[in-house]
Amino acid sequence: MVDMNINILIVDDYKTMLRIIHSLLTQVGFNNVDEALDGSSALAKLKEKKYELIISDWNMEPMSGLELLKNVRADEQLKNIPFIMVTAESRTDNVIAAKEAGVSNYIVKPFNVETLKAKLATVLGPL
Amino acid sequence: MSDKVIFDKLFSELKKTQEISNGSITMNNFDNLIRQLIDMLSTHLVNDKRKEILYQLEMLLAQFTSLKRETAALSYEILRDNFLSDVIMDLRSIIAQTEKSVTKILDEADAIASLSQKVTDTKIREELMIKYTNILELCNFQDLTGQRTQKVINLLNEAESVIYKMLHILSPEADLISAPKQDLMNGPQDENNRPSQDEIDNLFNNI
Repeated sequence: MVDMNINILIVDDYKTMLRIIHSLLTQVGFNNVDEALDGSSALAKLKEKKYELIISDWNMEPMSGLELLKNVRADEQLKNIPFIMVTAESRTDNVIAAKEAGVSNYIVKPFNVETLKAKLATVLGPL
Repeated sequence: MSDKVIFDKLFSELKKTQEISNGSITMNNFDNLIRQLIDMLSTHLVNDKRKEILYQLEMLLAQFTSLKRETAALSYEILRDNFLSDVIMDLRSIIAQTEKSVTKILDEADAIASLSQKVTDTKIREELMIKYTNILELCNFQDLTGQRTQKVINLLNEAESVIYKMLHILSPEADLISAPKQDLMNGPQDENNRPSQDEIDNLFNNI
């Protein structure tokens, strides 16, 4: 069973989206959820604290979710952290690019809590 | 003056112009070149063939000058009174307003979720939490409309950038705006063409 006290970092440039994902994660039972508004501040938080999961949007500037993923996978300390992309980007080349960059799973917006739970279980183990 | 001498002179003028403008011929010195060619040819008119060439060059120069003038006028028309910038600002405020509204909806939903914890009837309490979750899911829309609107803003910024660049070519003192960078960021797809989560899962698992 998954340790519900793991540290999760959610990254999105829309505050309402951060709030929605945070609330849904709390409902599922995760209580240690931090937020970042863009890839750069996410990277800064990842250097300061140990996280067991990253959930990120793609469409952000100046650093996109894909760039964040590549940075995470290139970092010795961070490369094994599970990374779920939650995004409106749904073209084939997006999914391929994310998979090739090492994403752990992929959720398209709009999504529901059941999809989120299913992907969390795939990445972390049974909830 | 023979044709060869004229073309040698023209070629040398061309090279001089290229050297001055670092290897390129700009729009501004293109019409100067045509004018020089016309002047050279008209000084040494010998036969009907040259008169024909002169006529064609005059027509080309006139059309080119007219195109420059009309393009500059159109560009100024579009950029006049900050028309595009105002539209972009309106779109940005749509994003801000919808974000504000969704925040209020979520505040109310959170309040209902808190109150539901005081409900003693388990069935009703569970129903309320399901409704609360539904509200959270439905509020996804703000992110998608925000992204679509941002896509339009980016396109308008790009269009404005192109128009400024055109103006800069026609009139070098105009300011330039740089276009936003891309990173496979296409934004949400059309509702009717967007793949489902199952289709995405299928693709993801088979890569």
